[in-house]
Amino acid sequence: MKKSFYLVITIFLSFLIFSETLYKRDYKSIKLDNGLEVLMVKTRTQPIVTIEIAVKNGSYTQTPENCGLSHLYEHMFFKGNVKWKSQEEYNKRIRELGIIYNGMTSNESVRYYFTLPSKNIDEGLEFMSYAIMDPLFDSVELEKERNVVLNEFDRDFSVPFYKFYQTADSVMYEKYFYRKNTIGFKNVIANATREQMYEIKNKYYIPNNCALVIVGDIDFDKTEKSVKKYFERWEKGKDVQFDFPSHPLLEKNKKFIIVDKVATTKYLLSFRAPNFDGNSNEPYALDLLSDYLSLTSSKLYKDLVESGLVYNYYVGYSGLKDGSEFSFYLDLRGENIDTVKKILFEHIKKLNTPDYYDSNLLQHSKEYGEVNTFRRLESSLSFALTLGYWWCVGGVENFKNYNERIKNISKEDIISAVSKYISNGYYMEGFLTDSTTYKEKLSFLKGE
Amino acid sequence: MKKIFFVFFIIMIFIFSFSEVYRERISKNLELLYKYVPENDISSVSIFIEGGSANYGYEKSGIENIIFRMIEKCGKNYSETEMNELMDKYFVNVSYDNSYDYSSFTFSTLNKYLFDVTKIFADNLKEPDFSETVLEKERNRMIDEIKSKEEDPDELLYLKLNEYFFKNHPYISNPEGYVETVQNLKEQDLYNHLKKILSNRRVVISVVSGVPFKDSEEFFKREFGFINGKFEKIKGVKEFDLCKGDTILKYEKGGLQTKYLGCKFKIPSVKDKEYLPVRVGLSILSKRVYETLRTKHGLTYAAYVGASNKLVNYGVFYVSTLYPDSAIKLYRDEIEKVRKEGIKQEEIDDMKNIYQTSFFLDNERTSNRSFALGYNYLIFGDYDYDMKFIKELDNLKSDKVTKTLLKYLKDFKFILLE
Repeated sequence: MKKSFYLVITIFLSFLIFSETLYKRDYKSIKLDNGLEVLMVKTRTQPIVTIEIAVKNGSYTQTPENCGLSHLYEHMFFKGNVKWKSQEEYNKRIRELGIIYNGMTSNESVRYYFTLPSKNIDEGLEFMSYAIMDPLFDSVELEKERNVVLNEFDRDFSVPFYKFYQTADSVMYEKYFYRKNTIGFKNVIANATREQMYEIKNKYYIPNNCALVIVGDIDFDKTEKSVKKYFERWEKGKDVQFDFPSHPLLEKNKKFIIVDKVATTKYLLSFRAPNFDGNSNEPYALDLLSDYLSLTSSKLYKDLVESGLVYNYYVGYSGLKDGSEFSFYLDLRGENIDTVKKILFEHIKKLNTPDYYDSNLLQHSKEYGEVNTFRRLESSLSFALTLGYWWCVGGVENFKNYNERIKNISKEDIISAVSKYISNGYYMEGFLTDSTTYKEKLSFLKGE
Repeated sequence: MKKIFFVFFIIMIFIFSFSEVYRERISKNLELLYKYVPENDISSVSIFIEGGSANYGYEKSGIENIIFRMIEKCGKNYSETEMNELMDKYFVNVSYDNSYDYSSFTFSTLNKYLFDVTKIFADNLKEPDFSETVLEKERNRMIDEIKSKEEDPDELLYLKLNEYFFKNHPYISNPEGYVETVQNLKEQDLYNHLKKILSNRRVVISVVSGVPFKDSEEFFKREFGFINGKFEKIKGVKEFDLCKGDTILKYEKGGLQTKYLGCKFKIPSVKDKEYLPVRVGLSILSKRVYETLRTKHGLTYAAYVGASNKLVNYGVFYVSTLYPDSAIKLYRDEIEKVRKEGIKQEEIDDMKNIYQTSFFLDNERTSNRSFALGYNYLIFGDYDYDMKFIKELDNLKSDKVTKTLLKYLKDFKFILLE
């Protein structure tokens, strides 16, 4: 009896010592000799697993000559490779394994995922290894895929919303806009070559610039064995240097307007904000501020939405490494634009005063953010994508400690960040509106 | 060894008993489905009302949507300001799905607030506040949202397809509403309609929660006991009234960088036994069309074929391309290929794998689970229907899929948006 008791205690203690948790899930990370970081999370609700490769690539690594090619490369990932050569073979394998897949290119990350039954994890890892390490970049396939991406480009620019956001980035980040332009330039996409694909592959698609994220119904030991079996042969590359010149700050307030056939007016007000580096408190303070202002019980919500002046609004801090902003985005009837702007600027003026903040509400917005994180992580796919994103942009340690850091942010931290970036910063205003509102309310913007 | 086996057996029974769905009839027209999931931190509640567009005519299109919006916003006992504060306090997420066959309202919160939040929404449903001052704001918002949909070419194409396909059919009563119908919806219309549906339509409340059923049963009975009417069976909705043969209509939007082509065609009801082979067949056709149009020819970024899930049902073909004539030709070629060569058993087996993954993926979120529980029960009379659907794929043979699919691949009604 005594023996069994000690055995149970030993097992329990070793569990405490060796297991790590990430947002209440068992978590384990390893680094292969080639530099590939492997992040594994156990979720046992359903018998599936998501295998994701996250790459530190995206629009921020682009030059004017290859603007849009991080995204085209992402498309080429889903083409043939040395093992499953033709597109037919590749697609067939996807279906055999029951894979639901996608890829996404953003400013500072490119992510690819396969979600499949957990019983197929070994085959899934093998499939992922060939797709990421050995693409063929067949020139006929590349030519076809260029047209696919050009159609995606045309679709995006057929929506007024999209044009609005692209213009906003081009105004805010005028000098190095190509580092914010994910879809890219049409002529660059239309003339992309295999050589350019290999250039991206050799520079960024190396194990020491990627993470393999595995979330789902898994066994750590077995998964680790499979990972080593398939990914150890991936050859280490030259460490990537991400030393780009900084995006210049705004030197004056800027405005732009797009007039289109739209039912409501969209108003965007953006301030340049600190880049995310994980050390400073400022990004966390601005993140908390955006959560605070988004609460439906906040003063801003009462004045804008409850009053009926605005349909909805979004406040957010983008938290990127290469150019960040703090933005207000509002959707409203054009006739209300003057009143809404006046109210919004009155609020902004008070953001650096302690009286503006209700301590209980501030505490609540910390909890709100935490609950929302847990909600988002309910899905293993969403967990994998969030983790992959953090690995690329903010680092896993910062993801782990995010809620703790937020908990420690004080009213004073917020006021200090607001004073530095908002109260004393230049801003950019953007309007997407219909011709009537333009004529009646915004025609003074002509020529901006 | 025996002991280990016994412990394992007990654990399995324990897990199994906790995954049971409790079903309780609260009144003649109200049933409660409750799934207790001990490991859940989040609770989700879905309220389904049967009928959808069968509950109102064209001139009241959008009425159930605006009712749910108002219930989310306020009630006689909770002002808009109070509701906003409470929704924050209890970390509530709300969504609603106003479909052609039902309306549903789903909310989720932390387990510890399940009763507080449910009480608020039950109260708003029992004693709503549709007074003109609050209603006007929501009506304006809804009208502008409807107008905004026309900005997005995909949304506009969908609206135009429905306008044509649902002509002379009850589904023309768009659950999202039209500008001209929403602007005429008045306070009294909303009170009358809510009273009508709660007193003679079937209502299903489905819950997935970490709170044990024994602790919740009486609470739900008490809070929703006011839904106590008769259960009027809805007459079968008639078939779509469409001409034979293919048609193509063009619609000019302007300002588009590419063209958008969509088409609808009749398929069996989601409750019909032919639905399963047709749905699987269309998924396989979708894969073939995607590979031909996008992968082989690079004609498009988006190409899709699929089955909807309505009581009176339709299939869809969609593509965005600068070359719609070539896209239609290739689509027809693929149908011809199905006619000549049929669907392969291997393709069905592969599709089963994808369906399974997708089913498990959907099941990870508590709100999806409470929705699926109620939806399956309301539409199919079986809360486990989607699991059985997946299992049934094992028995599906290629000749059956080919034969059934071909019966429906005709009379395509195309709309081209340019």
